[in-house]
Amino acid sequence: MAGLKRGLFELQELFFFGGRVVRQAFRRPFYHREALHAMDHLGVGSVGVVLLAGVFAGEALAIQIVRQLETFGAEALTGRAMALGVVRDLGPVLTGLIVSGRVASSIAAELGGMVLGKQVVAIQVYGEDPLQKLVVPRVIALALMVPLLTLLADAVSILGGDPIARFIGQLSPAVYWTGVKANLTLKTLVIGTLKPMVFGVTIGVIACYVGLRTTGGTMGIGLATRKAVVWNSIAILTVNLLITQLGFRFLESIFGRGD
Amino acid sequence: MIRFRDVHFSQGTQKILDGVTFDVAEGEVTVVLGPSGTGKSTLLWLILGLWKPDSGVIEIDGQETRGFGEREWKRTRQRLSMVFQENALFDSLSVGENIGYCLYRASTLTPEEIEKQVRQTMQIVELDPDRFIDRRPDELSTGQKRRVAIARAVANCNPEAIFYDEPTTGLDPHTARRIGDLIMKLRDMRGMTSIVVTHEIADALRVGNCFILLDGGKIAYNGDAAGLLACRDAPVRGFLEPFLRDIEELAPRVEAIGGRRPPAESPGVMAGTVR
Repeated sequence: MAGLKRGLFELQELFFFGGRVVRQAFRRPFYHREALHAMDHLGVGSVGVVLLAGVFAGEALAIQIVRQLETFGAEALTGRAMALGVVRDLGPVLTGLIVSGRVASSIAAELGGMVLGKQVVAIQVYGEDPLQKLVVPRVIALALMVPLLTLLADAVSILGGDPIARFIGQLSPAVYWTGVKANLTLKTLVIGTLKPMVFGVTIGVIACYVGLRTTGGTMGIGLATRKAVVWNSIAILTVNLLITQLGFRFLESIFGRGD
Repeated sequence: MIRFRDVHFSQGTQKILDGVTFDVAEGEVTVVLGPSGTGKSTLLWLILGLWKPDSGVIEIDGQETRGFGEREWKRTRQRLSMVFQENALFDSLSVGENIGYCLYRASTLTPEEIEKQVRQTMQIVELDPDRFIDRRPDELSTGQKRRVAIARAVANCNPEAIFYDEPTTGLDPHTARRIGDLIMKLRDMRGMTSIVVTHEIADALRVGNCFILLDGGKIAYNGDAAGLLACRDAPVRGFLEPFLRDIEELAPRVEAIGGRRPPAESPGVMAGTVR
């Protein structure tokens, strides 16, 4: 019971923290240099691993789709299924989880080290708001970079499906790519971009929250790093489910029913 | 300048400060002594508004800080500065950028003027600007880091008061002495009000004018050096006991200056000024 109470309290604190971050993001001063540095460090630095994971995940998904559709003689729909599955779910979730593993741990460790080294207090003593200087630039950087990384992951995943469709599904490239194009609708692209943006904010907020609450020396940093990755993984999967369900209803009210 | 009136502060169920009352005079070096965990550093955190007292009054320049909002605190903190026990240097910045941290952010000076000011401050703390300005904090020794931390605190838009949290802890005796000299030099050069939190009695007696001894969250002594050494109260004797040999060596000196302000030891290093 006490554990549940503590968990709920922590969740409440996390939401308050997230609210403050969003509010401060629209207030001066803006730390452009810190945001650009974070975009480079957290975003550009993740390109390689996201591309690699995207290709392999895309190929694995394509194999599953081709095998299933074969049994109904519907291999021609592989491109459609790939576009939908990759852009709406696989791409955002895969990118979110990879970035969270790579970046959330790094942010939590960095901020945890700064807390223990009293650098965060020093920022406050020298008249700056640590939230605005340390957290907001990282969250903005992730909100912008995770969607871009997701687009890259989507592209290489769908590209990776091409040889699978060709050699295992015996499909002509024209059929595969016509199917892909048919399902790359505005609604799919909106969902596929909105999701990773929310994931970016989630990753940044959780990692910074955990990092700034680090206590207990080097062991505390290890704990914060682990917490940041675990909490983020759960959060990404939960948020994905919520956006998929609620987002569909909302977008259906704008774009109408259908894919 | 700084006044505590019956200040109480707890963390969780633990009482840290229990009705603390004292004044910090302008332009003086006030030393806060006491064993570890008696709430010495807490005083600094309360003055800087990083923690709020449970009850009691803290005044800075006659202004009660109880009702301060974030904006007032920011304005007040610009007039104060702090040297952290951990140094708290920014790892990602060079020595020069660390020292000029506040100047780059808040002043209207050009980058060239800021660098000039940073170099002058480095000379005050006896760090060769040409050798150290572009180094990273992790390339420095503990003593050098401490001097960079002091330089950063001094360069912080000309503060009126500077707080040192355990400035000589973890340093070898020679470096500790040089840091002590530096504290006195800054006091003499700029008339800066200083609060030095330490448990090193020998360093304290060298730099301090006023002495506050905390014991169990209460003030066990508040007065000058001669009074501290002559005090027969049990908490004071209990604290001084392990340092008796150091004190015996320092006693003639304290007597010679009548418990008043000790002179800066190395006037030769006082060349150069930030202002």
